[in-house]
Amino acid sequence: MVLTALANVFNPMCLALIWFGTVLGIIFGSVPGLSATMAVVLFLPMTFKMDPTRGIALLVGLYMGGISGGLISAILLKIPGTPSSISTVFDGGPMAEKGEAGRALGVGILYSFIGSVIGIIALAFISPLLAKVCLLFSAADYFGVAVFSLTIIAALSGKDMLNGLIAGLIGLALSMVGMAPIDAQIRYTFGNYQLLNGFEITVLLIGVFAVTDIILAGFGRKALSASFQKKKWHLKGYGITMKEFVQQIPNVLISSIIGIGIGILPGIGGSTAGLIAYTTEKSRSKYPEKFGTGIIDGVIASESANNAVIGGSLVPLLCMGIPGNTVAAVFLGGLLVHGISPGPLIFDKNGAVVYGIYIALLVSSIFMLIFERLGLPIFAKLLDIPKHILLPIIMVMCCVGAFSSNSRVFDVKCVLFFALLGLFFKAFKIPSTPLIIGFILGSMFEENLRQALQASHGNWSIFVQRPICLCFLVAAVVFCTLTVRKNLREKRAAEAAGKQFDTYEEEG
Amino acid sequence: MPCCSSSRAAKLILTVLNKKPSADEKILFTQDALGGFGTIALMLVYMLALEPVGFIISSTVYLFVQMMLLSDKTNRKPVLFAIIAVLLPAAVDALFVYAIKMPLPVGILGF
Repeated sequence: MVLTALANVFNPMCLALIWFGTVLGIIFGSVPGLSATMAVVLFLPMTFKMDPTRGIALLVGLYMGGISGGLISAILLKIPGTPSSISTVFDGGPMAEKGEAGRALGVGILYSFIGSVIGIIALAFISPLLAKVCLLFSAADYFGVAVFSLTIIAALSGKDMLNGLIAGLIGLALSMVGMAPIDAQIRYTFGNYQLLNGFEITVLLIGVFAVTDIILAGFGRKALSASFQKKKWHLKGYGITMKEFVQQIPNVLISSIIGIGIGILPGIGGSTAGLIAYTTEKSRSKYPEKFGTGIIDGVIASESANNAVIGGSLVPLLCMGIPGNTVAAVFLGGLLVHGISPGPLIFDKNGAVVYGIYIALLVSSIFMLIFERLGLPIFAKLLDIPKHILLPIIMVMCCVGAFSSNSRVFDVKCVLFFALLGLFFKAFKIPSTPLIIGFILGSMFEENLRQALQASHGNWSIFVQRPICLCFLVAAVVFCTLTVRKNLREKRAAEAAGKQFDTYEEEG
Repeated sequence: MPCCSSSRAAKLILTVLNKKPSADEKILFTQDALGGFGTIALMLVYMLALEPVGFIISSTVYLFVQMMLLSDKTNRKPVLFAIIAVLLPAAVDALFVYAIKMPLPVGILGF
């Protein structure tokens, strides 16, 4: 299996696709306003006609490049290129102001690579183990997992749990359009034959994550034309000495483990990982007061964590079919189209594809290490492309992408509907990640609920009789309670201090 | 199942309606109403025009108008916009129809 995978990946076409994906991903990642999520979403429809390994290889490159590319604008412009790079601004920006922009960039790239590799190794080792555990699951247990995931996502996607739950439940409701699982009853189609198969996940993703941003740009036209002051930089090698490298090893390991853990938890992603790793490193450092003034520790913590998320987010995807974040949700779409259903049996049925993913990830991170470093002058130049030209082009590409999944113009109209939904969400500070995950989990939720009830002949107590399911349901309730308590405490503290309580968190 | 989801939906709608729009929402929509709603209207027209008029023509018109809408006085370069608006859809069409072999909407004019 490993040999087949190696043969699949190490041929010129596939390598070219990985290279193309990585470089394009870096471009998307570095331009503020475009994100890794947008890149993967835009190219997903194009992978449908490709071989599964090649299609996934392209998406892998885009993901890797996208998450890593954010550091370029974070350091040079003090604006994160993707939400994952928010914490890189804290120390990368001051480093650039001190004249050390080159060092920050080099260190960022090197540690993005190291963080990715640690994440990939964790992915390769944890997934088979987790898959074996998942083989013990029955329908009722999968239902418990779906409930638990939905709760976590709602809770962790922002500080207002009610907003997260609303988004998740709307996603769930949207997934019920079309034919019901098991009995194929037609629901919510309003007589429109186009909706018989429900909404397409690609269309939902393009609408909520790409087109919403373009509409928002329309609302904020003045901000578009603001010219950014770019910092000059000069760099030799990767900007770090052997001695400093050895000193930073504990930093990298801890930050990467944080990244992997956060990646595995469904619903949260790079931005949270970077922030938590940054604060953890600051609190365990011998010189916490220097954080924020421009030291490499901060950049290292942030970049290794947000790249380790890549490996971590694919773990629940491969083992259970539950995406760890929005990009993993896109990967799920990519796998399903090729008839590969993620779950514990994927290692037996489609082992070649799984190993292909691991190898593609490794190749992509090596490409990222080499080409991001070499192409730095070009990427920095690309930051100058005017947004008012770029965004309409992206809109056209979005429509092409939406059209190409099923060759229907109806899907393009759905994109606008979802874009307006996304806009509505942004206005009311409702996070959009639970919407996507709710939509994806909707079928898992309903199908397993009904199968479990069929198996128990309509007896609802099956959900508390099966130990695994009971565990997950209890965990969901406990998690809910703890999060609500924490949020209430934070809210009261913020109100006491007279501050406005911001409940919104970004994803990408 | 349907009654379950409809009662949930009713609860959600009531909750959302009860939330008072914060100051941020008013800022979001009134900040640049022409830009924002203009963009939405433009997208709507584009999507409705895709089927009858075809991908290339509707994309060209959309690109040009959208770029003019999003740019401000200093950035406005109609000639550059027109060139991009004509070249890009043609390039994308060539790429998709001939290279990737995925058809794009063709209008009454045949292309």
